[in-house]
Amino acid sequence: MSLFKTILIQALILTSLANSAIAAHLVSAGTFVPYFGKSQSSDSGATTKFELTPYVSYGLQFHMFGAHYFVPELGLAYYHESAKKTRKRILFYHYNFSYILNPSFIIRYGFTTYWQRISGDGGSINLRNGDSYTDYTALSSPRDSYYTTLDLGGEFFLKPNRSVRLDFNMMNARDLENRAFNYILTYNWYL
Amino acid sequence: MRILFFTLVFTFSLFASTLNPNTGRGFAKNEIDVLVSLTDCTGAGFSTETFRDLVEDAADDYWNAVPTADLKLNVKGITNIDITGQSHSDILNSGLVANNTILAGCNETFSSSTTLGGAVMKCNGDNCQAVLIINAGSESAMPDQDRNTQIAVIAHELGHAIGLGHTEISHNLMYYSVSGKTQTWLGQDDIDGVTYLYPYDEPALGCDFLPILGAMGTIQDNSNDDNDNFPGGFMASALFGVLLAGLAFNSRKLFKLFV
Ligand SMILES: [Zn+2]
Repeated sequence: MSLFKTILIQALILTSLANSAIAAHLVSAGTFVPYFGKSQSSDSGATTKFELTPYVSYGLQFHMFGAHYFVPELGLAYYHESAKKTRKRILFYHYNFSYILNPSFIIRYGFTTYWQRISGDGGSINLRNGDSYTDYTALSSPRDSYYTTLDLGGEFFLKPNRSVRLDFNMMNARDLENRAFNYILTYNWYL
Repeated sequence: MRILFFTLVFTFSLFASTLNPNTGRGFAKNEIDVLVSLTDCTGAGFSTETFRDLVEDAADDYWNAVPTADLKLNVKGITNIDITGQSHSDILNSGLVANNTILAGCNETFSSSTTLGGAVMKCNGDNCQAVLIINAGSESAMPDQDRNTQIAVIAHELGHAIGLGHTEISHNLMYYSVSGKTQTWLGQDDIDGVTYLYPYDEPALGCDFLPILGAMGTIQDNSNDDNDNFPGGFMASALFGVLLAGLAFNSRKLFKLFV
């Protein structure tokens, strides 16, 4: 069923773009910040505003009509904690559209499907538990989670082919109370 | 290239959640009932009715609020299960707790007054139950905590009840101690742990947001097996690859095949 849906959406996008033309290849690098303002980052209760998680992506800027472009991108963010041998990586399937407001600024909107994989090397980790220590089970076989965000962002051009971009990705778009945002801050090369 | 170098230097973020050592796993289902025992909570500083409300806040403010995890804790009313004088294992061995259920209550079975509460999970195959007990003994420190901390303590024990272990980074809810902390949110370890145990294991590809394709609802998969669902992810990535490759070559002939 999901495969059918996937193919349907891909086919719709391909079909709608059949007569379009590529304007540019796009390579980006920067940082991915999850749960902006909604995950705790200190004992005093402060929340995550910024962190450095490597993010890279490759995509294509595709002319649709007028000042409108379709910009599918494939992104990757990677976490690794060497001592505990646990890993997390997120593949991003960005389906964003952009509108060129003026030569130095474009607005971006669309959606992204996240494919997140968390895994570990198994075994146990000895951690404090009350007044003593306990061997806790470490993460082992990979688990995948998929979720989709609504995206809104802006891109500022420093030169004609170089830009800085900030995209906000909204999780839980239909649940006002538990809505949360990730953001991706990148430097971009148009090739 | 300066930014690229900048980020590569900071490649490694701290990240280490662990699992409950009793079970090393979560429930087999993603919808879990939480029942509240009628046993008196006065020693913990609140009535049994208030305890039920605190459990609901703990579930909703923390574990039910994670957009990346497919977990729903349904906090029910007060049941007539009496846990007076019974330890976690007494209760689990008595068979009073149904499968895919967490029983939450208060009693005086704790040996240390500094222990605010405890939770134990038990699984036999895919049949899992958990018991969460808050220390209502005469020496309990629970009445000294403010409401926000009481909710955090219950949420921490709920974390064990759904299959999580401790983390070593102190700002996470699943750190072994709340003293000296103001806990308001889950930390990234907590979020990763619950996402690991209760993943959204089917690619949705934006169906939620495309009213034009309204016939496609979100399909909830209530199984939570250990299979690595690589094929789904593989298909999603392969299809995206086809999309990018198709656009890259931009062959009108290729597209004509689709039209
Ligand atoms: Zn604990």
